[in-house]
Parts: sequence; C-alpha cells; structure tokens
Amino acid sequence: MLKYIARRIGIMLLMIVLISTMIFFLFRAIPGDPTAYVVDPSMPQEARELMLERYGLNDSKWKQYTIFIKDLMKLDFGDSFFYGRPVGQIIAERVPATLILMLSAMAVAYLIGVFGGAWMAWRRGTRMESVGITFALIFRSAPTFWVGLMAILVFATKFRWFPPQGMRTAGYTGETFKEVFLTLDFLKHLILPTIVSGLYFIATPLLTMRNSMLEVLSEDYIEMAHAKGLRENTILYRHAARNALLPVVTAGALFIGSAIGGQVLLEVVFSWPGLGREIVQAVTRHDYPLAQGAFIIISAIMMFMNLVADILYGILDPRISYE
Amino acid sequence: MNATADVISDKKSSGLGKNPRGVMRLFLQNLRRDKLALFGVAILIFFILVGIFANVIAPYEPSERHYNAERQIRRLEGPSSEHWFGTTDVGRDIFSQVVLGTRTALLVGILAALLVTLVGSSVGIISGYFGGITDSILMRIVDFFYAIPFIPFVIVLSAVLNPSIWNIILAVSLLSWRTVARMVRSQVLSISKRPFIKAAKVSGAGDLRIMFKYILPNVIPIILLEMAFMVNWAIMAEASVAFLGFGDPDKQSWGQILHFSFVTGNSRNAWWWTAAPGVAIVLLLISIFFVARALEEVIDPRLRRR
Amino acid sequence: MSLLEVNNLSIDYITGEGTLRAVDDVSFSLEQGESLGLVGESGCGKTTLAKSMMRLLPDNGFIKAGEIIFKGDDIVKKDKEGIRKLRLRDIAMISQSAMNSLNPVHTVGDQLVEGIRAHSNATKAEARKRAEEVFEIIGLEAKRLNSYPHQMSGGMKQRAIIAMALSLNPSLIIADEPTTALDVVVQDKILKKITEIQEHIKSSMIFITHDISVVSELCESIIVMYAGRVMEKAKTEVFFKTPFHPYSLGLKNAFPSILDIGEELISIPGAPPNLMEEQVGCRFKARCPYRTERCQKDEPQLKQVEEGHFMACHYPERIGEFTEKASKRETWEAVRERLIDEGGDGI
Repeated sequence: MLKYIARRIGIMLLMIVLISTMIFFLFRAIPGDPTAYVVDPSMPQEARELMLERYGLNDSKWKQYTIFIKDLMKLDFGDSFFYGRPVGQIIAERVPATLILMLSAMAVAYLIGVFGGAWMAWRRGTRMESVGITFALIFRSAPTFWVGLMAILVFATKFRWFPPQGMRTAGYTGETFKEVFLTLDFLKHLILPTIVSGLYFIATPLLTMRNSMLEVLSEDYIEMAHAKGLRENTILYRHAARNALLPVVTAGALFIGSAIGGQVLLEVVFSWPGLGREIVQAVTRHDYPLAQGAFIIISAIMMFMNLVADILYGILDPRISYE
Repeated sequence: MNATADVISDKKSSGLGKNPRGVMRLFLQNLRRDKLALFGVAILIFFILVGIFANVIAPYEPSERHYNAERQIRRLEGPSSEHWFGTTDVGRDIFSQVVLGTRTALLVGILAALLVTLVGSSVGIISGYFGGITDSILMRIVDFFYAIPFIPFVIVLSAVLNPSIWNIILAVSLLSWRTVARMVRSQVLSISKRPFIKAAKVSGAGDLRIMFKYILPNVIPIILLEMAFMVNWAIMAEASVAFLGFGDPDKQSWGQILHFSFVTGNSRNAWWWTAAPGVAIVLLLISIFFVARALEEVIDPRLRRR
Repeated sequence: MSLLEVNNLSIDYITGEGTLRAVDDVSFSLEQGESLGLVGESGCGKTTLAKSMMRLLPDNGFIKAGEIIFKGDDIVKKDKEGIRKLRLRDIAMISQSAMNSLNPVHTVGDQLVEGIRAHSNATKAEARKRAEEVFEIIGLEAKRLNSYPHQMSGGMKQRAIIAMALSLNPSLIIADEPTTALDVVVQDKILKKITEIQEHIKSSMIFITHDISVVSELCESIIVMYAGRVMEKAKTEVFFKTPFHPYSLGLKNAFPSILDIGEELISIPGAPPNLMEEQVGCRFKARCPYRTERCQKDEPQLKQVEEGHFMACHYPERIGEFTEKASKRETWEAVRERLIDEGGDGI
C-alpha cells in the first residue's frame, strides 16, 4: 500500500514536470514582447532593461527553462508581473478559499447524491424518481456560471437572502485563518456558491449511485441477504449501498477534472478570491508567472484528489490490492 | 423465474456491432416510445433551423443601437413587442444576439466534435489494433492529457492564441480526443479478438485494410455516440470561454452575451439579459443529451457513462 | 402433521408483455426429515416454487392463489417481520450461484455472524463460535472465516454457503441446484456432505435440479414439473421402477443412470410452451410422442395410479406400450419431424 502510494506520487511529480514544461513553452510561444504589458512603454530604456533583467527575460529560452525547472523543484514560481510579489505567496493565499468552496460543495453534493441515489433506486419507478433524474440532468446541462448568475439575480438581488459576491463584507479585515474563515460573515458568503456548485456536482453521485444501486439490488448476494432474514435497513445500507458506492468513487475521480473547471467559472461569477479567479485574471493581465504557477497548482490539486479517490476505492473494495 | 428472464432478455437487443444504418433504424423506432428523445430531436431540429436561417430570423443587426421616440438610447429595457428579449445597456437587441449566437454554438459544437472524434478514433483504433509498444506509448500520452485540467487549459490556450472560434475549436479538441481514444480503443480490443479479424489476417489482408474495412465499421456506433456527447462538451466549453472574455470578438455567442451582462454589472438586475442566452444553452444541451442518451440505448444499453 | 403442505399454489409474474403463469395449481406435502427432489427443465417453475416458500419472489412475482402451510401457519399470509424471522432459522436456502451469493466486500465470517445474530441475541463472540462450529462440520478451516469471497475457490464458497444455511439448524433446507457451478468431482463431494448433514440435523430438504439421476441418489420422493404444473410425483424408488408420464420417460432418457453409460443420449425435441399464453389441453402435447385428440382439448388432472404414485396423463393404462417405445430413438425422431411439419424448429 505505502509502496503503491509512493509510486503514484512519483508518477504525479513526473506529470507535474511535464505539464509545467508544456505550459512554459506555451507561454514563450506567444508572438510579440511579453514585457509589453508589464513594462510601461513610457519608461526609459534603462528601467525597461532592468525589468527584463529582473524577470530573466533576456536569457535564451533554454536557459530560462532550466532556471524555471530548478526553481520549480524549490517550489519557487518566480515573481508576479502584476503584484510584484512571489507567485508562491499569492497562490498560498488563494488555495484555502478554493479548497473550502470546492470541498464544501463536494461534501453537500456527495452526501445528498449518495443517499438520494440509493433512495431513488429503492423506490424505482415512482414519480419522485423521475423528478429527481430530470432535476439532476437539467443542472448537469446548465452551465454553472449561468446558474450562478441566475442565483445571484434571484437570491441576492431580488430576495436579498445572501450577499452577491466575495468572501466577506466590504471593510472586513482579517489576518489569521481563524479571522478570515471561521466567521458567520464568511459562512453567509459561502452558502450561495456552495449550493450552485453542489447542484452542478450532484448529478454524478446521484445518477451513478442510482444506477449502481439498481445493478447491485439484482445481485445474488442481495437475495442471499434477504434469504438470511436480515432486516431491510441492514440489507439496504450494509449490503446494497456499501457495494453500490464503489462506482460512485470511480465516477467521482473521473469527474474531478470537470469539477475544477466549474470551480474556476464560479469563482469568477461570485468574485470568490480563489485560485480559479486568479488564473483568469492573470491570463487577462498577461501575468504569465502567476498564470503558470496557478495552472501547475491546479493540476497538482486535481491529481492529488484523483489519488485520494483511488486510495479510498482500495479501502472500500477488499478485492483491490495495491501491490 | 427463468422463464421471465428469458422473455426479458429476448427483448434486449444490443446495437454493438450493428452497421450504422441499422443503428439509425433502431433509433428512429425507439423515438416512438421515448418521449424525451422525441423532445430532444424536435428542439435540436429547431435550433439547427434557427442556426441556418439566423440572418433572416434576427430582426436587427446585433450591434445596432436602438433609440426611442425621444431619440434616447433604449438602455436596459425589458422584453417588449419590438425587442422580444429586451435590450442591453447600450440599447442592442438581445433577441438578435441570441439568434446569431445559435450559429456559433452549433458551428463550434459540430466542428470540434468532428475533429475530436477524428483524432480520438484514429488513435483508439491504432492503439487497440497494434497493441504492444504502440499501445503503451499512445495510452501514456492519453494519460498525460487526462492530467491536464480542461477549463484552465482552454483559458490559457485561448489567451495565448488569438481569440477566434477556430482557436477555441482547436483548444477544445486538443484536450478532448483522449476520452474518445480510450472508448474506441477498448472497443477495438474486443473486436480484434473476433474470428473474422484473425481470418482476414491469415488471408493476408494488410493492416490498413483490416482497420478500415473490418474494424472501423464495427466501432462507428461507438464513435457516433461519443460524437454526440462531444458536441455538448464543446458547446459548453465555448460558452465558458466566451463568458470569461476569451471568446471571438467578431462572432456573437451566448457566452459572450453573458460576458457583457456580467462585466457591465447588469447580470444582477437585467434578468432578461442573463436569462435569455442561458435558457438557450440549457435547451440546446439538454436536447442533444436526450438524443445522445437514446442513441446510447440503441448502441449499448450497458455502456457506462463517464 | 406434515412439516410443509403446499395446496393449490399458483404464482404469476407480471411482465411488460403480459402475465406469465409460472406455477399453476401445485400441491404437495413434505414430512419431517423427508427429502424431496423437484425436477424439470429450466423455466418449468421449480425455482419459483422454491422461492415462494421463503417469500423471495422478485417484485413482479405474485402468489395468485393457494396456501403454503409450514408448521401449521400459512406462509402466504405472514407479514414481513414474520417472514423475516422464518428465513434462515426455520427455512434456509442453498442457492445455485455460490459464486455470487457472498458479498464481495465483507468477510465470509462477518456474513455468517450477521445471519446468526439477526435471529438471536447471541453476542458477536458467541455467533463467531457457532460459525466456527458449522465451518468445521462442512469441512472448512476456522481461519477461512477471515477470508473475503474472492480469496476462496468455488468449492469453498459453496461450502461456506452451506455452512451458513446450517448455522441455525433449520427444519427445512431448500437446495436450488447447489452444485451446477462446480466441477464434477467437487459436485459429488458436496452433494454427499449436504445429505449427510441434513440427516444428521434431521431437517427436511427440497432439492431442486434438472438432473433426474441426482434425485435417484439423494431423495426419498420426487416431483416432476413441466410448464408450471406437476406431471408426476411418487416415492423415488417407485418412480424409477415405473415412471408413468411420457415426459418423465423422456427425462429419464436424457439423464441415464450409471448403468446406461456408453449409450447415446436421447433428448426430448422441442421446447416448453410459452406460459404467457392460455394453456389448452395437456401442456406436454407439442412434444409428446403419444398425443391424441383428447390431449389437445382436455387438461389431464393429477390422479393416483398406484399407492402413493400420482401423475397427470390421460392414459395410465398404456404405460407398458409407452415405456417400450420411449427407449427407441425413432419415437422421438418422429416428434422432431412432427414439430418441423408444424412450423416449429424441432430442436
């Protein structure tokens, strides 16, 4: 098991280097002078040279690349053109916001999705079941960013139940993690984006759970459980739902990529100061070091969550052995 | 018990390995009882017609500014008989924009799906047919592309390249072929084991001939299905990219309409501006989804969706 | 009083295409300690019949009429909780698919323990002890209780299923083709073990199979079913001396005893009738070599032909002639040709 995880982390690191390489050359392939956006044209030539020197933009591509990779190993992503601060620092500030929103949305979606899906399969053929399926499909087909816009329109502007944007009310300042995230104000800001994001996520666990539950319910071991005279609830949870959970985990792992995409869009819509919004702004501002760094970290988060899903699967299914 | 099982299993006929024409016929037959699929086909045909005749249907130039009797710009007016979906902050007709946006959505969806399935199926067939080291290398490449986060990558790429729908199509295709490649490969793997492929090899048919003449027809149903899902995927991606402001400035698109309503801060108040393009996206995507699902039922009832 | 008495039982399946009458007016009884073989082709209703005794029919299966009296109570009328308590403790099932009857994500031991504890106040340790005992009886090591199903061979899994069925000393064991998935050598061992234990704990057994020769070795009485109906029932020794029904004669050909080895098998041509349709006349008429005008119209009722020997054919007096012809290949070949003439495929 430990060996397996070590190997997976090794592959992950290799993938990160490959992705970083790709993204590095992609940005260097842009026609025109990348400094044009950073360096004020009215600046004297000397100051301009100084800037180029500072960001290492005068070196050959190859030299820039080796420096980039070396720095990457030290988790140094360079300095942001826009903020003039280390990229790593900016990313570290953004990651908690992203993770909190994403994980709370996932928790809500998977909790409701798994139980709802199991329940839908148990009550198959009823009206409630088809309502549930249609509902899930509509939210899967609707772009998250649009659902977010509509939610703001209705629940923030019209009913004024929730604040329309951001992570805290204007004027609020907090420094430590506790001051920023463990407040009622933050919770109020979190609810609407969590619901919208959760609605987008929910189709996957709900439908997968329902389908796999239906499949599991026709298995011989379920009939056997009935034949043993077990109680209904024991059969439903200990035997059926427990086994039906396996495909849900697999589907969840495959879905993580799309989930991150949805997250980027939602952060923009809700002006949520996370990594997704940062990457969009960085790209718009041609702040390549920051865009680069954010992209690499987002990839790493995605791969890490995939690994977590795989390990979880191994724990849930005794037939899998990580040798 | 056994008797019922027999009766039921007789009714289930899988479309795997059927020729494309057979798939179409079964699909049309199923439409009669699958109301959702029928709804999907109807809406889809509607959108295609709107897309083709967009120039005729749109009552105004999308960038034209409209004035009222007092010669004032008709800013942010709600739906009326003249402007069905209302106007923007600079007095543009949203209905015309949505109608013309249909064309962009369909164009991106269909072209990207074609490109993706072309690349994906070729890789899938080659990988599945040759196996061995070719397969390993191609599948590692697929793994690599699976590790790249889709939307962030498309954003970066659209920013690096010039904003145009062609580049969006390219960006979407660059990352999506992997899914098709995997699906087609697993299908080819099972087909390659069948006796008629071995027979063809023994009789001296070349690799290319076997791939095109014997394997391709058998994977076309799967490719068709993947294509239907890819159309959806591409439309959604285009809308997202355009919403973020990386869209083609010369083409009206639904995502772009939402982009302007958002960046001008009007998405919170002018409901018609936000609702109209969004409803169009949802309707088109859901109709394609219903069609794809019905197609899936014909092609392989047991196929798992990602 | 008999342990089990089934009276005029009919079971329907409601399907998308109509109603399928899987079991039609079946009656029999079973004494304490008796073992009964239930024989017929697949789809004849034998598994449905067995499942109905534990009320394990699928959602679309309904007991249309009749009663199943077990220890004086009608199982058909029992509520859910009453049925639940009956399962495993009084009636236990050894199912035909041992491969898939154990839940892959729990250890075999846990699955035995939970069954024992669902019917008693036993602590985990006590239930575990009982599980170890039954494992020993069935010939499995106690440490196997810690295995997951995928770590065991097919034979071991089947033994575990049997151990589970025996764990509460049930009064009735229903064994539904318990060994079909196993290879022949293991099959034989396991069948012997089942009967040995059944005799040891003095429970009754219903043994379901399509293989008539197995019944001759294991069971005291036999019921031959065809298309949802009882065709013939008798004590095993009586039955094998003189089977009366033409269908039984055909079955006997298809599964020869050890003595007939070397001779070519003769199978019954054709297939059972579609039970979605209304049945007129004898159900075996399409495949019967001896059918007459009367068989097309009248359905023969089960009647006694000798002491304790019942069968449903209009012509018990022609038994001598039937038996003689039944062993000849031409007789059945003629049926095949007739089926082809009538537009069937005569398989």
